[in-house]
Amino acid sequence: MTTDPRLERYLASLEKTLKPFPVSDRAEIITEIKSHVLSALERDPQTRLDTILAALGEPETVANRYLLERGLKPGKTSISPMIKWLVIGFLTTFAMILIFIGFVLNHYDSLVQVDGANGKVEILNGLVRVDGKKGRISISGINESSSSFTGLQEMPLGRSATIKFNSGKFEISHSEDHQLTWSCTAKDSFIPSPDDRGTAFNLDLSGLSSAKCKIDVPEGSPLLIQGGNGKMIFSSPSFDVDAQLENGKIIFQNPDQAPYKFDVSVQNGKADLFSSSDKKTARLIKFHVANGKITNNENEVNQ
Amino acid sequence: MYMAMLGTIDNWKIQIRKGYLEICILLLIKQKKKIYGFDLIEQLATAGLQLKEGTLYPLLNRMGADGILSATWETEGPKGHPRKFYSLTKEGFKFLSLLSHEFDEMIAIYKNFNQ
Repeated sequence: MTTDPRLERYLASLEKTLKPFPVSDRAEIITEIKSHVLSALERDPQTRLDTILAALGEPETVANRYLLERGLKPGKTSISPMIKWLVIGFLTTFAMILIFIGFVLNHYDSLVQVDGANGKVEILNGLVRVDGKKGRISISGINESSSSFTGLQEMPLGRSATIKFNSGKFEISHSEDHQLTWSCTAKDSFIPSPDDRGTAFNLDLSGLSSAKCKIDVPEGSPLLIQGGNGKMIFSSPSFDVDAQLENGKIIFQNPDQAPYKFDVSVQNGKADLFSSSDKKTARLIKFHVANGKITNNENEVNQ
Repeated sequence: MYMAMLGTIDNWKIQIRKGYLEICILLLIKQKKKIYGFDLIEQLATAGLQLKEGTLYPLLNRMGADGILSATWETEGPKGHPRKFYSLTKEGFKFLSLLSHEFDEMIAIYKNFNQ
């Protein structure tokens, strides 16, 4: 029986984060998760594999829950050492070739500008930029380095969370337990340092030029999220939300049909109609977009 | 003020949910004698207890490591896939009995105060 490549990828990623477990335990966990997926497909053949995997949660998050239950330290995803060294080797070689070409051309062509003091070389009016100090090469604005990272934070009674970002796509839903978890990929190699010292837990991702994150927030933990450019997608949050976005779109989904009280405003752009519930248990959802759109159309998520 | 109170209630629910889930899972396994994860989620959902797969399986794994649960792999039919069936160990029965006793006491105290 062949296994779907998406399932294989999911299990491989899960297995990778379960490294602190002995091999036999890892194999047992992987077989059980695979068995769960096959049982779900068997029960309802119409169900999409992506839906089943989404219900399971991000592989890193699931693996971290296994580790936490067993009293082990949760891991963070990183690029495998072999790939990391291959990338470093390639970039170093490429940088050396470019610096050499730059050095030679500089004697004959003014299109190459060498800033020796800052260790920077700019070729063809900035088409190729080499930053020797940071070890970074940009070609037509494409940054070669990237990173992925996950993390979690225990959220005690009544604690709120604040998330800030510069640009990116943020998918936000609720977590089953009292942990705030995040799983991100970014074009930069910057790894954020969450701040656990204040009354609110702070996750500042504004150092990233572009991030793609999935964030699970515990039930009842008020969330303040402030962003520059991008998209925020909320799926049946079981917590109060105050979302502020400069440019972009906020999408609200409510598959659980939960009750909410809405306070929605757009300075330049448009917002769908949101009907607030009179229920006492309704969560407060405050959305503000300076330039852009606020929508409750679920179909737009995948566009 | 009212919203803050609702938030406090939600946090209180989160605090007691984990222990409550654990006792319900063990009672269901005891009732079924043996059961596999997917079936367990469905039975809990039918009873009104919604639980994410990503939460249940790590919990079962930990209870197995603690010696409360034992597990066997079984395949139904020639085309079936292997399923991991959980059942209570001898220690598990003792543990559940102690948990049930503690929980009954808590309910009795609560009822006494709530008269």
